[in-house]
Amino acid sequence: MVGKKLFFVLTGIMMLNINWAQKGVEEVFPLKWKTKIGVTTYRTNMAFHKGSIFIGSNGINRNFKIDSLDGVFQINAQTGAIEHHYKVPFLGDNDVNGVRIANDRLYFGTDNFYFFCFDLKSKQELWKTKMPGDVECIPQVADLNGDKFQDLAFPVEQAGFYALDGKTGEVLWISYGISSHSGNVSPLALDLNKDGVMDFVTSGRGTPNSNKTAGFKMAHYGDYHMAINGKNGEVLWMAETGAGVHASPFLYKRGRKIELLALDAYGELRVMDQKGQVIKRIDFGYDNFSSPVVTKDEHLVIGRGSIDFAQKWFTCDKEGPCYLKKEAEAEFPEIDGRISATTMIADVLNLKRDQLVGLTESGTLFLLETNGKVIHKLKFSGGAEASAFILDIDKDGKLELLIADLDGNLKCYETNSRAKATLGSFR
Amino acid sequence: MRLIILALFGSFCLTGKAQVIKPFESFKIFKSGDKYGYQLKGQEVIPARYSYATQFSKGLALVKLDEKWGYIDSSGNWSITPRFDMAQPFNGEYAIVSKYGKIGMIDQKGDFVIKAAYSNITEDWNNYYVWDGELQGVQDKKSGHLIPAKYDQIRFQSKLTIARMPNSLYDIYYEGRKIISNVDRDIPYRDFHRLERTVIASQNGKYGVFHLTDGWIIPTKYGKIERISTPDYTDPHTSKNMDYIFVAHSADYIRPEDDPFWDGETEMTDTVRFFYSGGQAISEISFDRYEVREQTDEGNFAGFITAWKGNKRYTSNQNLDFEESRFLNIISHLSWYIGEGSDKTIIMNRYKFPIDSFDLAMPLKELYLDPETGELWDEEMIVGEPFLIVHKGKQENRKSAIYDLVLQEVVSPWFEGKLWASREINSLGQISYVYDTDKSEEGNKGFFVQGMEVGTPIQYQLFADDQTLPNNGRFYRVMHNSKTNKDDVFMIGLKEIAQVGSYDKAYTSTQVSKDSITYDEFGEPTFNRTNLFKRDFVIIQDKGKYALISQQGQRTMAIYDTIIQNTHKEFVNIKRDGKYGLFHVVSGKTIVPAYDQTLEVETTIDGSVRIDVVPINLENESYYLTSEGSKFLCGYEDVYVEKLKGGYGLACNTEKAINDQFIQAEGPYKNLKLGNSLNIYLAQDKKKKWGMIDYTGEIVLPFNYKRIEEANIEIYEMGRFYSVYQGKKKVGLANSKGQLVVFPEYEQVEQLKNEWGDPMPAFVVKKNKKYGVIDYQGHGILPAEFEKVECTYSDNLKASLITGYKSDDLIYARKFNLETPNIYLFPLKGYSFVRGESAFILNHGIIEEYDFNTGLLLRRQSTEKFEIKGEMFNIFVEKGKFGAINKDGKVLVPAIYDFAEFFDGREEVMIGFEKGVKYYIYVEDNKRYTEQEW
Repeated sequence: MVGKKLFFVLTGIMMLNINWAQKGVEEVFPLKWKTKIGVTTYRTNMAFHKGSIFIGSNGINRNFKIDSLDGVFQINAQTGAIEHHYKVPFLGDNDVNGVRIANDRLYFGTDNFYFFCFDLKSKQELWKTKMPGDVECIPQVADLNGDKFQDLAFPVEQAGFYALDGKTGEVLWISYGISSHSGNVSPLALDLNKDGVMDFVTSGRGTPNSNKTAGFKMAHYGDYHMAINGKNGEVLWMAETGAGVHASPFLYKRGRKIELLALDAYGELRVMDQKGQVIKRIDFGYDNFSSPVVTKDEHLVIGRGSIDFAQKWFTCDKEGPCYLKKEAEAEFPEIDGRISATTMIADVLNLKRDQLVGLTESGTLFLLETNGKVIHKLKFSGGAEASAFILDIDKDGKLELLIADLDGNLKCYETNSRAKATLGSFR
Repeated sequence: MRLIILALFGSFCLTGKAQVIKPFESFKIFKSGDKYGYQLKGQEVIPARYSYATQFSKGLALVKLDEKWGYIDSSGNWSITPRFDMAQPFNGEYAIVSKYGKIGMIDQKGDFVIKAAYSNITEDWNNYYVWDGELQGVQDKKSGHLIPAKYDQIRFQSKLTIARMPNSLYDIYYEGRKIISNVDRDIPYRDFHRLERTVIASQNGKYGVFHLTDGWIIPTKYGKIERISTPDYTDPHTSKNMDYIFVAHSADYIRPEDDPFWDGETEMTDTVRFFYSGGQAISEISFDRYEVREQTDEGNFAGFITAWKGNKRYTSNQNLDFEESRFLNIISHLSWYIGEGSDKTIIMNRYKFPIDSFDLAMPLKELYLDPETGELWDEEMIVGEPFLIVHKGKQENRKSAIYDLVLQEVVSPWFEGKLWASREINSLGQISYVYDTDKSEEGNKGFFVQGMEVGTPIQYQLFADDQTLPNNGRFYRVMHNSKTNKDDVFMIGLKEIAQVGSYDKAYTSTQVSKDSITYDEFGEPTFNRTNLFKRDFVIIQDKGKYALISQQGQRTMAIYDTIIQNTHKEFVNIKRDGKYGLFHVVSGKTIVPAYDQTLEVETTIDGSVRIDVVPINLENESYYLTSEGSKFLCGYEDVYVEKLKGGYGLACNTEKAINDQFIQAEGPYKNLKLGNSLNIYLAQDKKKKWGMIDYTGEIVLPFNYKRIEEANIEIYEMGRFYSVYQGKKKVGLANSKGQLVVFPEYEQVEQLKNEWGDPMPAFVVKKNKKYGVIDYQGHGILPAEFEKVECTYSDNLKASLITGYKSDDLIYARKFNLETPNIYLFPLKGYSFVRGESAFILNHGIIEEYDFNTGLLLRRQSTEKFEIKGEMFNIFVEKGKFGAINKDGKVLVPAIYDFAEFFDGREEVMIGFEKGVKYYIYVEDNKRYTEQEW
């Protein structure tokens, strides 16, 4: 029913045939600097640490076995100058997607079956661990073995979920309950079982378990949202999705309650409690890839779509999950191009209220009101899969907007906003 | 058992227990000073002497020593000496290495599988792509075939590799071997045929055909070449030495720059040449133009070609043997055809295999009898498929019969003289064909009726008379019966003929007579029907009084003195005892004669009927009229059975009837009761025959049955069915609309069930203790000649397999989508076994595979070795034994089984029979279980 409403909204907008004048990004946000780093993906994130931006690169070509731009770039946030290029010293497809800074160290995995740790001061490799597959996601960090040192947790493509000692790179545990469909999903960290150690919420493909179907979805593919015990890797709960999962889960605090939001490849959004029980379901339909986020004024956003997420819009059965009422307010503005980047939430236009800041793979930066109404559709050259990064990185009191453009450049734009970003980075 | 396995499997998966194990080699890298070495449990096992070290993988570790990279084994010895400028750890079988600024790929022995000669390497599932700057080549991972890096674009099409050079010409490779150079256009999908092994390619702007083995078989000198394929080529496994046909055009066909939708047709003068090849022998025949007369839905060649040269017409068979054609006629989509021989007409199947021959055979066409000359007028509309009219004898001694192409036999008596057909549309809009005949060999006359639905058996009724009234009545045949000296009136149903009654005299409302011929101003004759009345109905004269039968079969009593046409075409005036009334010929409703003058009926502007009389005798009569009377029917929920004058009839239980003509003046039925829906009533006429009427009183199933009762058969959306009995033991089925779907000729009719016991939308019929299957629309799927019938039902999307078994150990099967029936008209065969969309016949070392959907023979080959396609694996047969093989040709289960089949619903399991024992075999690891173990 919701899908139907959204369809009508979308159709209505298409029929209106609004011809938005497509300004360039630089007409609204002056370019501060740009730096050649190679191509990035929807799994790419940016980390800011002590005046530097860290970003992984898939190099000149995602498929090249030898590629001078593969690795991680450390870039001066003020000038855009490359301060260091962390490279893998041996050949292979050393593409890097997710990066993590912790313990004054840089952690990242590659498409060449290795996970690395570099010291940020000496820039030296401290350790590396051979993995059974590609590491595609952003590794999550938490102290898992009680040594007061942040450890790493992440899925390995088609090979399980791994925890590594942050000091030595030794494997702490492996959870084979999930093989991570394509290693796309960057896990959430929170202490689900209240044992003082962070646990992990992730999604992916496990073992096919039956020949049944779940409606039109194929349950037997063995796709799950699941939680893993951070202490020992045991599965705390699994919730069968019936469809692959590419979007990373989102943690939403509704008052004192914590809700876990996860989207599968068929566009079914599940809102779960900390025990994996489904509280709400919303069908967003196909072609939605970015992770769900929720604004301060309770709008659920996936890519361009915004739905009023307030409790009043839900109708609940006695025993089953709640469903969005058909009269719920939803907006899916017409924006060309696939959206893989997660939509950020910040007042980049200095309007004294948050905007939705999203990127399309065909090169549109869209700025929407939190209810989905279009403010700007701005053109940039190459398109982007990676989520935008919004933070005052040059300490001038105003936010900067960073876009990893598929033309191979990381671009930093100035804003005139002194606001603090509500959601400024992906993981 | 299946449930238990699933439950165990499910619980195993959900457990998802963590395992604290380390899957890598246990050596750990340690650093001493600026050198790296390896430790095991804290003890040094390989000294720290390397400037860089990686972890062991595949038994080898990539290390760097003195600026060169190599690979050591677990003893620290060089497996691959340090000779590379850079290298990659082994993640799989191969590793990338770099030497002198170029990269290549080595195996675990250090041998190059791709020379270090490239600037980069990329890969996909099947290939490595080697790059020299912007130019690329490709190496097949499986075969190792290398195409050099000199192309700016490479694409794959089946086993062809089409590589574009920077000069925009193409090199074409087949399995890594360059077969054609400098092709000037890309090869579209349709221009390469893997099974024919031919490529249509163009050089210097002219097209030719290249054979993978024989080279250019048609030189590159034609403006355009088209391929005509036959369905035989659709089977990828066939090893048949296939023939193929190309049509080459002399004219240049150049795509206009500005017309992307150009279909290749031009006005240019052209000469077409047909090239036919069986192996290397090529014959060339040139024509001015051609037409492919029969193609399958996929555009494959399935019939023959008609070609013209000058004013002569030539026709080919599938082998492209052209003959100057005399007469050839196709019978529509059935692909049967009739060839006129020197003195016989030959009926052939789609393979041009002669089935039968007659002095003359022709498709049934809609014909009219010219009353003046007795000639038949041919309307040129083929009707009655799959039936032919066949003749034997010549001219005045000619006899005619109806021939069934499916049964491949004559299905009617032989009639003297002619046989002609007309199309009838009944009140439900259903079409049937009625064939009128002259006298039969036994001296009878008669007519046939055949339902429009294909597969409906043809029925015929014979009459011992030679004085049939000429008529064109739409729903009735009136035949004079000289034995009784009565006129018999027959009603033509969708699939049957019912005798309405015998009367002193009966007329159809329209008749043709000599008087109906008029001449126009130019003296040309026009044949007009004499319209006694403007609508079709039957007038009966019985004992000096008249009665009427409406279009829907409702009949008045024979009590009227006169019947006169009313000015309104739906009504006739009836007169009795000097009083006038009305009869509505559409609904059969009567306004009892009670008026001194004829009643005038007029249609008002809004289409309703206005009858200007005042109501009379309201209490005693069962009809109501007002001066404002408009026509609308009583709703079915308002109708009830009422005892009326003379019997039971339907009445209306609402005040709405004040304006309704629905209520019957007289009760025509001895018994009348509501059926299983509010629409249908079961009725017994005065002759104690049962039929069915709907709530408006219209006859939907003629009164022809001894008994009608609700059957214990219900089909979704079709409702509950009725058993109709003819005689004591003959039973058939009518649906909830009263349509006869199973003719009452069976001992038993039950609902078909699948292997899980679920009821299916079809019926099992029993006749002479043999079983058959008929679908819910009345299509015969299996004739009633089997010891047992079965239905295997996979899911909604797949057709059901309907199988019949006789004592001959063969499987008589048809794939049939019961939900959306569509009859298949190829003859039913006995198969040895059935798999997927194919059925197989094993016979003396030869296996034939037939396509279930078309009945076509897909392949015929020796049983020495062949494969049967499955979802996850194939079953292969070698020297008469069955095994399993994966899609890449790797044997999973050796051929040791006497017979094997796929396990429906468990794609990873094969069922094999060895010395009479049934095994369930997991093909991946070849573990097998007996029935008991399973």
